[in-house]
Amino acid sequence: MNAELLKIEGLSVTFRGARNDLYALRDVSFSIGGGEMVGIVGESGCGKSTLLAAVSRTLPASAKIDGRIVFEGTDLTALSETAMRQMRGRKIGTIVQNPMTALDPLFTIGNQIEEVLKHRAGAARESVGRLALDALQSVQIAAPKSRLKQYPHQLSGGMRQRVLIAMNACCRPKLLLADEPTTALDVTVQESILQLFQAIRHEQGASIILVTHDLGVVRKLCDRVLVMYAGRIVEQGQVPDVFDAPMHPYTRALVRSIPSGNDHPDELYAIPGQVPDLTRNIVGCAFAQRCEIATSRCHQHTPDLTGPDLRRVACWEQPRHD
Amino acid sequence: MAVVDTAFLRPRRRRRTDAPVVAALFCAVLVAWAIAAPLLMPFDPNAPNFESVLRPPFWEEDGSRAHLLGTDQLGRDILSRIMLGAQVSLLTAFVATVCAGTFGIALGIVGGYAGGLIDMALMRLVDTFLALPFILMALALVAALGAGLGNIIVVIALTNWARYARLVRSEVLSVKSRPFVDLAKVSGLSETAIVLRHILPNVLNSVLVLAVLDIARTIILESSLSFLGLGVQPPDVSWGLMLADGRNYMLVAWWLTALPGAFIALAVLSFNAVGEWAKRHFDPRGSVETAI
Repeated sequence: MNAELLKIEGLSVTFRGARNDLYALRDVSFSIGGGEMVGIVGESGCGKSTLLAAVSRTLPASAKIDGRIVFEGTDLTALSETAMRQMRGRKIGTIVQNPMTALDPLFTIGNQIEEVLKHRAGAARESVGRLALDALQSVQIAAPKSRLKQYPHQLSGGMRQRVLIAMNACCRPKLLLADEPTTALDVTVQESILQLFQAIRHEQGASIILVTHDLGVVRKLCDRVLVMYAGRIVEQGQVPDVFDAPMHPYTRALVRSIPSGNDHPDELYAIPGQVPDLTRNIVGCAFAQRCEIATSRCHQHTPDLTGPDLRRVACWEQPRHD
Repeated sequence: MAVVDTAFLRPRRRRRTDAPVVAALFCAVLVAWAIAAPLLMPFDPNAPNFESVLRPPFWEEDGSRAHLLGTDQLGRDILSRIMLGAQVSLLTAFVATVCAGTFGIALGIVGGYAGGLIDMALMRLVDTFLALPFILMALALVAALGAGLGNIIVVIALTNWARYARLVRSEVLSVKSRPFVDLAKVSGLSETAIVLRHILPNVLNSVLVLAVLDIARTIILESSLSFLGLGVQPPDVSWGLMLADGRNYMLVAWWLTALPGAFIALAVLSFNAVGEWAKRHFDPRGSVETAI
């Protein structure tokens, strides 16, 4: 693994509300090396997307951010908006969740890729046409030449996601933030889209943070995985370790919920209960109420994320390393 | 024999187009006329000819082939005056609409995109302008600025910009929350670039619809002001001015008022018909309807 690219230290994000504040992220710390692909999993509302938005600094104005987000040695939280804008697109790429609506309906695909090439990748005016075609070819879109002249509504969801990936890839970002890039897509095209991420990573050496609900995808593509629950990281480690020997009861339950495909259980496993209300100040372990092995300590004290460097867990019922 | 009537499955004959072809043609002819008026006019519209005053149009008993639509009390050719009047009326309408539109779009975008206090202040200003009666405000402004072609354009622009601002602001609010704007932001585009390249093109559709409808309104406003003597001043000619000039002779020479009146009515009707058609086609969600 290469040198550290992104280091997040003690990141907390609070959304200020009219009645009560919402604690979206609480004291999140982790780091990502160059060329590494890290998966972030967890159920809806556990802070995955907030984490990505905090890194690209696109949180709404009501968000209060504490902690440090250090990217290539600079603290992004301290950057001016102008300096941050230079980061976005050029160094930190973002793949949005819903490719169906992420392209401007009034302009052709070619127009929009050329816009990125001209203004972000700094390509010369004469060469943008050829570069746009190259970009589309690199994401293996069918009939790339005619696509350049088409409008977004003429493309399928999978093709639009390829276009978005092409727009990102042509800036050769160091870090790519992918927020559920395949959720809105047909299962049959998911696989090929995910392979594009692999390609970007191997050819351009980009680090990728992949937020997903699909544990199978993480297992197949990622080096490391962070498991989030109620705004905190509850477990992290190398993919094989976490999946083969999950330590946190939440991770265990998640892994158990993956339909195996071999046997045919009458019922799919689901974790009982719901994610706790994030507007309350949670006392103790956030998962305690849904946990099968929770003790009274779990309800009273919040466990820290501890463990040897790359394999950490926040659970009182695991061997402590402090 | 079919049990169920499947007639609805068969291809239906193409329905007649709902495009107002005649109205659009009339608008086109008017515009062409207005542009080419100085070349096409048979007479100098301001040259009196006391040998043939109050001549009726050619189809009347006394009419002459030389003055197809007759002459007025000073013997000026009505057809030439209507043609030059078309130029003044349409020019005023177009320029005033473009000015009002530009100003309204600018303020609407600022308000909608910035939000917060700026938005509130701008929208209260818009409310104020919309609450004032149209003609009354125009009269007050003309009184302050003075009559004349240039001022009339300023006055009409000032009375019309508010509706553009309100329409654009509401459109910007919906466009700016669409994902492609987020994408532009995370791709590192500046706010100005986002507004100019993505938000503005997406709101222009409904603005154009409103602008076509506004041309009709503006023609009426200009005619009214000119009729009241507060608009276009002689030697310029406008349809409203012709109405005012001819109204003392209404009982003896109907063509002095009826003909320019008919042109005002037809022009307004045609631009309205085209505007309504454009509204159905380019603004199916009815944002123009709700904004004005």
